[in-house]
Parts: sequence; C-alpha cells; structure tokens
Amino acid sequence: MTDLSTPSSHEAILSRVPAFPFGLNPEQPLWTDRPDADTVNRLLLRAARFHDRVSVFVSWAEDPTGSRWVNDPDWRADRHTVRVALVLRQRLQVTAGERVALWLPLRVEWPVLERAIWSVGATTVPVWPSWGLERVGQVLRDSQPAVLFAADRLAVNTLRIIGGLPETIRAVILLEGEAGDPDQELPYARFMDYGGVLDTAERAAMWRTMCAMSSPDDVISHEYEADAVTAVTHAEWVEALASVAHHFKPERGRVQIVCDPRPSRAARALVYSGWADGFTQTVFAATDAARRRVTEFDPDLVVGDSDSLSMDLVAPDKRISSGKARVLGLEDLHPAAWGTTLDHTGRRSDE
Amino acid sequence: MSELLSMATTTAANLAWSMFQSVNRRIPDSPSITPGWAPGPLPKSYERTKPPLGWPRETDSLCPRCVIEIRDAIVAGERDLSELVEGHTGEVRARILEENGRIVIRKECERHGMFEDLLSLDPQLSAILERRYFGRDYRTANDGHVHRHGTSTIQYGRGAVLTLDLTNRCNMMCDPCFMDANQVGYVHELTMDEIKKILDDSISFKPRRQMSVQFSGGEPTMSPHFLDACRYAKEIGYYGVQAASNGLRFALEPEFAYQAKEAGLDMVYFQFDGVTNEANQHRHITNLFDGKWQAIESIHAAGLDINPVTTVVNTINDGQVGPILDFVLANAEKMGGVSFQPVSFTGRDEAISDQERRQKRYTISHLVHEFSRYYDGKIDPYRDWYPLGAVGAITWLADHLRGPDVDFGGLSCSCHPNCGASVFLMANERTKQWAPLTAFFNVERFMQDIDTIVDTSRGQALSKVQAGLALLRNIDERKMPSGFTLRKFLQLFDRRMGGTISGEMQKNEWNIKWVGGMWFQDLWTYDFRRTEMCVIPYATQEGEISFCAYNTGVGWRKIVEKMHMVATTRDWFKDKGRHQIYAGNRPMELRPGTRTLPVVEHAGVPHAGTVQLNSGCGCH
Repeated sequence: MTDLSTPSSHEAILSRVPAFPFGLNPEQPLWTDRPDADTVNRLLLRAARFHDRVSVFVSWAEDPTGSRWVNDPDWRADRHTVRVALVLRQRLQVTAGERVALWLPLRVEWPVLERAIWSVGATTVPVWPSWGLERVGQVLRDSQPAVLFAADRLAVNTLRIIGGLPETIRAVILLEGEAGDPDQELPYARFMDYGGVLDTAERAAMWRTMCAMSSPDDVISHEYEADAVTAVTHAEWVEALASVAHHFKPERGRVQIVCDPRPSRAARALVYSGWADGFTQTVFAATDAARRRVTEFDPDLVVGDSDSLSMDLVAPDKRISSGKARVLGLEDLHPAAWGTTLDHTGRRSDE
Repeated sequence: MSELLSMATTTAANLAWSMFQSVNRRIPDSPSITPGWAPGPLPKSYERTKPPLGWPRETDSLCPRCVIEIRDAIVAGERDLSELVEGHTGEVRARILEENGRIVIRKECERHGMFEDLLSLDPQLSAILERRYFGRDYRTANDGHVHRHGTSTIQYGRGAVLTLDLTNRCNMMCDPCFMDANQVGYVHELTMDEIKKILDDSISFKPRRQMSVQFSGGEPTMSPHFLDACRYAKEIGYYGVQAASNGLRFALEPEFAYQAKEAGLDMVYFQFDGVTNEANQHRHITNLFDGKWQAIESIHAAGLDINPVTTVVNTINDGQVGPILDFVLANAEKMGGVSFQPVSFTGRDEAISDQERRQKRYTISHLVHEFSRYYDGKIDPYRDWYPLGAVGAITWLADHLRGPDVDFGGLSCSCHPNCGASVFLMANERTKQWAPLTAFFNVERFMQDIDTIVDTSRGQALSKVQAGLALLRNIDERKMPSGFTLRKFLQLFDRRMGGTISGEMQKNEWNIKWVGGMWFQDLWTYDFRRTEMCVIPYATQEGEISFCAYNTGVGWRKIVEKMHMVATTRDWFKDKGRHQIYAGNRPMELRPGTRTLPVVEHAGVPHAGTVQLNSGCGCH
C-alpha cells in the first residue's frame, strides 16, 4: 500500500493519473493559482467551481405535485455543503475528531453530508440500511457518534426504545418525515434552514479557508466490516478517487448511474470521483421507481449489485444492451479490485 | 438536435479560430491605429500597465487622524491649500497583507499609532479579481488645467462617469448625509456658466472621452439649471447623461420626468435602500418606498433607464442585498442594473469607534458571498465576478473595430481591481428568467482572445471575423437559460458594442443586467494607487478630483465647497425662500393610485433598529 501520509506521495499518485483533465495534477491548476490540490476537500471545492455540467447529481423525487428527476447543479450542491458544515460546526458544536453517523441508503444527500462532515474535521461512520437493528446498535455504540443522520424515523425510534442509541448522540437529523422530540430530532429541511441563517459571508469564507487548509488526515471514514466490530480508518480517499479516475476516464457529458443503495466505500468513491472530475453527472437510482426510469439517460456507466442490475431494469436501455455503456458490480469494497465487469444481465463477465 | 448544432457551431468556431491563429501568429503584429481622440496608438496587451497587485505589498495611504486635523485647519484658513497640493500631508506608508484567511491594510502614524482595517475576507476571491484585471487605460496628457491636486491627482484613464454636483441643497434630511446636505450652513450651487465651463474642460484633453456625466448633489433636480445642464451635456457629446437622485421630484411631478427625457437625461441613478417602507425608515419619510415606487413608474413611463444604488452596512441592511436584486430582476424591463456600495466611513462617520467600524465594515467579498448565499450558489463567487475594470477589454475591442476616424474613445471603466467587482446577469425582461452570463460564456478566455485581436491588429474586416469567432467559440449554448439562443446572444453583444459588428442595433427581450459592487475608500482603507486611476472623477470649479479624494481621503469637498459657496444657508433662505424638505418621520403626500410594479415579497423583515447609511442623497 502506498504511504499516503505525506503530500508528496499524493502528488506522485496524482501525477500518474493522466485521465483527469484538470486540478488533480498540480501542474494543471483549474481555476486557482494554488497548486496544492491534494485532498478530497480541495478537489471537491475545485470541482464545485468548475461548473462544466448542467448538474452534478440527478435524483428521483416522489412529490405530490408530480414525481420527476431533480437536478442539483454544482453551485447548489456546494452551497448546501457549506450550510450543513456550518450547522454541524456552529449549532451542533461538532469538532475535529468527533464522529458523525450516516444511516442512509446511497442517495443524493450522501455526498453533501459526507463532504460537510469531513470539512469540519469530523469522521464519518456509514451505517448501511440493510443491516439489522442489532448490528446498527452495535456499530453506533462502538463508534459513539455525536450526530446521526437517518432516513427511517421508525427505525430510529425502535432503536431508541431498545436502547441502541448511545448517549453521545447530541442530535438526530431525519431526512424524511417530521421529527418527534424537537430537542433531539431535527427534520432535514429545518436543519438546512438553520444553515441558511448561519451562512454569512464571513462564515462561508472561513469554511472555504478551512477546506483549503485541510490535511489528508482530515478525511476519514470508519467503515465497519462484516463482523460489525472492527473499525477501519481510511485516509486514502484521494487514492480511491485517483483509482476510479484511472478506470473510468472523465469526459464531457459523461453520465453514471448508481443503482446500488448500499453506501459502500467503492460506490461513494465513484460518486465523489464524478463530482471531483467536473464533468460527470451521477444519477442516483437506488429505488425501484428511479431504476425504472434510468432508460431516460444515455449512461456511460451503470453500477450496482447483482440484484439492482437485473435484466428487467437495465436491459431496455439500448446503450447498455449494445455494450456501449459499461455495467459494473460493486460487490468488492476496495476500489483497487474494480475491474469486475458485469454483462448486461448483471452476471460477472469472468464467471 | 439543437444541442448537436450548438456543439458543431462551437467546434467549428474553435477550429476556425485555431487555423486563423496558426497563420496569424506567424506574421509580425501590425502597428495599432492611432485614433484622433487618443494621445497615442491603441496599446497592445504587453504595453498596458497595471498597478502593483498581489500581497504582501506596500502602498501610500493616509493617517485617519492627521488628515482630519489638516483639512480642518485649511478650511479654517489656518493653513494654506498649497500644502495639500505640493506636499504629502497626512500620508503614511501602508502594508496590504494576508492574515488569518483575510486581506488587511495596516499602517502606522508616528503621532497617532497603528491603524488596521479589513479589505477582504476571501483572499482567493481577491486573487481571482486581480488576475482578471485587464490593465490601465492611457496616461492622461495636457490635462494640467483639470488635474492638479498633488498626490491625489488622477493620472490614468479617460474616465467613465464624470460627477458634477449641481447643488448641495436637498429635499430630504437624512442623518447622516454623505455631504451633510442642508446642514453645513452654506449653499454651494453652480451657475449655468460654471456648469458649461466644467463640462467643456472635461473633454478638452486626450484621451478625449466618451463618458457619461452624472449630475449629483444634494438633490440635482433642485437646481434651476438641471434641465439646461442635461441639454448642454448632450449637445457637446457626452455619451450618457445621468442624475443621481432620490427620485422624489419624479414621484411628485411625473411630467418632470418627460421634461428631463426631452432635455437629454438618459438614466436615473436611483437611491434605493430596501424593498419596504421599514427598510427606508432611516430617511425619515414613513412612506418613502411608496414614493420610490411612484418615481420608478414615472421615470420608466418617460423612457428613462433606472439604476438603483444602495449603500450596504454590515449588520444594518446587509440582509436587503438579495431582496433588492430580486426587485430589480422582477422589474427587469425598467432597470438596467443595480449598484451596491459597501459603506465608506466618511463625513460625521470619520469619528466612528474602532469597534463599531469593525462591526459595520462591509467589503466586496461580503457582497459576493451574500449573493452566493441568497441565490443558493447560483451566482458563484469565483466564476461570475470580475473587477469593474474588466469591461475595459470590450472597450479596447470596440475602439479597435471602430477605427481611427472617430471623435471619442469608448466608455472605459479601467479602475483599480480593488475598487469594485461586478457580475453580468442575462435576464429576460418578459419572463424574468435569468442566469449569470459567465454560466455559459467563457469570459476569461474571451478576454485573452481580445488581446490577440487587438495585439495583431489585422484591420477592421479581419478583426470583426476574429471577434465573431471568439464569441462563438467561448459560448456554450447548452448552459444558456431556456429560450435564450446563440442568435439572441450575438444580437445582444453587438447592441452592447453600439452595433459595431452588424451596423445596427437589434432588440430582443433578453438583456444584460449589471450588478455591481463599488467600494469607495475611507481614511482607513485609503490607497493612493487607486485614487490615481479613478474613473469617476468629481468635476468642480477646482478641476477634476478623484471620487475618493473628494469625498473621503483628503476630503476636497469641504475645501472646494467652502471656497466657492454662494451664500450662507440663512441668507439663501432669506433671499430665495425655504424649499420643501420631506423629513421628520412623516409621510409625503403622494399621488393617489395603485401599485402596479411587481414587488418581491421577502420573508426576512429588514432590520428595525437605527439605520445609519452613509450615502445620504442619491449620489454615490
């Protein structure tokens, strides 16, 4: 494993990645004269300024006024990240070294939340929705997070009743539905409203400065392995992004569809890589309703597990069935193992 | 299909540009033309100069305490004016440096100690703005009769807007007021002969300027010579005639707007502090916003353009910035843009405490980030903002395309990059859609292309071809707001260049709205490198003086007005009678009628506390 603890090793890795058209290579600054873009935060900060795409994320919204694809341009994703970071820092007093758990399927809020958490120096703890409550409780007790972001209110309440929520949690942010106890739970919309209030010129500038000064060691996630006990700390996100970029060359107008609801490290690396390259649009299609409509895009890459990539869902897309788009499985967690290619039926090509 | 066509157009333009330049670069640059209005050939990019930029750097500044003492002594007749012109009174060296993620200016006076103030809270933004600066205009020549103010003398540029105070009388009584109108104890009002002489002098030297004149005050519409002054300015060739007005007269006498239009007035630079009556309460007229509304309708009905101008004070009315732009965009067919002026502590505010000054300090970087916040990032701090002087690029191109046989050079705003920044919004005046121009047009590369065109100087026809290619290759039609097309963009650009490319002015419902931040200096932020390239000089009986040197800095205003006062206020009232002043926290009597302008309702109620805005009148 390459030593990622020194900036020079990052630069060495990045300089070997010719696929990135800008930014990653310190000799090719994109929009700033600062040549030291070697952390995830800095990469994403740059990418957010690049604006060479109509949207960075596309997600399916089930809305009473009509379900539809929603576009999130770079500028909005960037601003929302600022707001999340400000609430975490100013209102919830999250400090460097603390942990923030994200109990969510892989959806459009993931990249915004995780980047904001990293930017305040905190560590992310991904909690997969597919895990049982007992395992979730075990992970939370072990990681002792300060804040929990969750999608399923019922599951949170059940966990609270069975004593699965550790006392270290100062606030639970619910991405869907209304919150119960206002002292402990906060709906995401109100959370973002607080961010809007805090989002002054001074604080936004301070946040950007903080991002620009962040070290690679600030970007950490605790990924719990299958036994739900071992915490693995990764400071190698830059390498992951470089690896993704090596496998999937960024091009103008590139579209990738993420069908896998699991917030695996590989899947997130793919999303962040798409965000950082300044070109790629990432379509979140983890739900059945969204997957049924992914044929509206002309994807270059479709990723997911075998279940989500069943033939029924992706085969109608001519681009996929004709082999013009790559279909990949994300069973392997480590990006270094990404070579696994599935055919359009979702089977491994090497099987 | 249209996307394919757009990509094909851009690709073809790119290819054609590259092919053209592959030949063009191999041929030595042709000499630049020397227009009759200019003191020399149009400068090439490598001949244009820039002031010292970046940081840390040193500059010349003023001691906030010494200056006040010296100015008071001159006004009182205890010291001679020649000290100011010939010496370096009150001057100190200052350092501009980055510290803790901010840009600050720090200086030390031997007598009064250390002074420090904030210039920017985002060094990255400041670096980008300085990098995008296009360069200075010509050095002025044979201008000793108007530029003779010692170290405050303007040395560069043809100027963009000449400000001319017609009177210091006003029909409002704001507290405080930029110029203490009605309250200084004397009346300073120009005669028509004086106005004519000042206007004549301003276009008597090279570069001969295509500049706007802005009649200011006090309230300029109170001058008996206002209409004649508009008429005369237009007659002798001023490009645009503006009035910096509070708008009350236009609200109360709608026919006056028609008279002004007939006399040659083009635009009202409209004092505007907020989109509710509460947000205007510091002006001491309880229904002032309703009055503003009627003024806007009258001015627009007469065919005059409107540009609201707002002074922004941190923690006081900074929350109004977004709602005001909403208002401007909602009334896009009536307004050409909006100007925000971060507070500069002058006049009575020169006595402000350090703590209060730090609290109320608002910089261009505040404004930029506030727009990013308010519009959720749609106006991007780093992509969309350019220094005011960047527009100079278009002027150089237009001057080049117009050729040598023109009487006036183009309107050039080539001020120091620290003086301000602006963003251009493309807005549909009917549907109210809008997007930053820079969202779909690569302005930075276009400016580089302009350098290539101007540097190589291949004659008018080939230059027009290159300009067309440069436009096409830098535009991304896929990112344009819906309904806006390449054709409409080209029409609009040509119109902005005065029809230079097609030879005619074609209109469509899309228009460019200028959103600017103009940050005037005060004694704490003063930088002589900015003063010497001022593009908005004040024209007075004592020549043309940089805006900041006149109103803040050395404070020439007090000196000039005292030298040329026509009467004490008491004698004036005795001789000519009192004029109507709207004040005292009472409503003004407005015409009956209903509001027809769309109003942007905003949930955020403006600050209800005491509001102290520095710009009292409609002046800058």
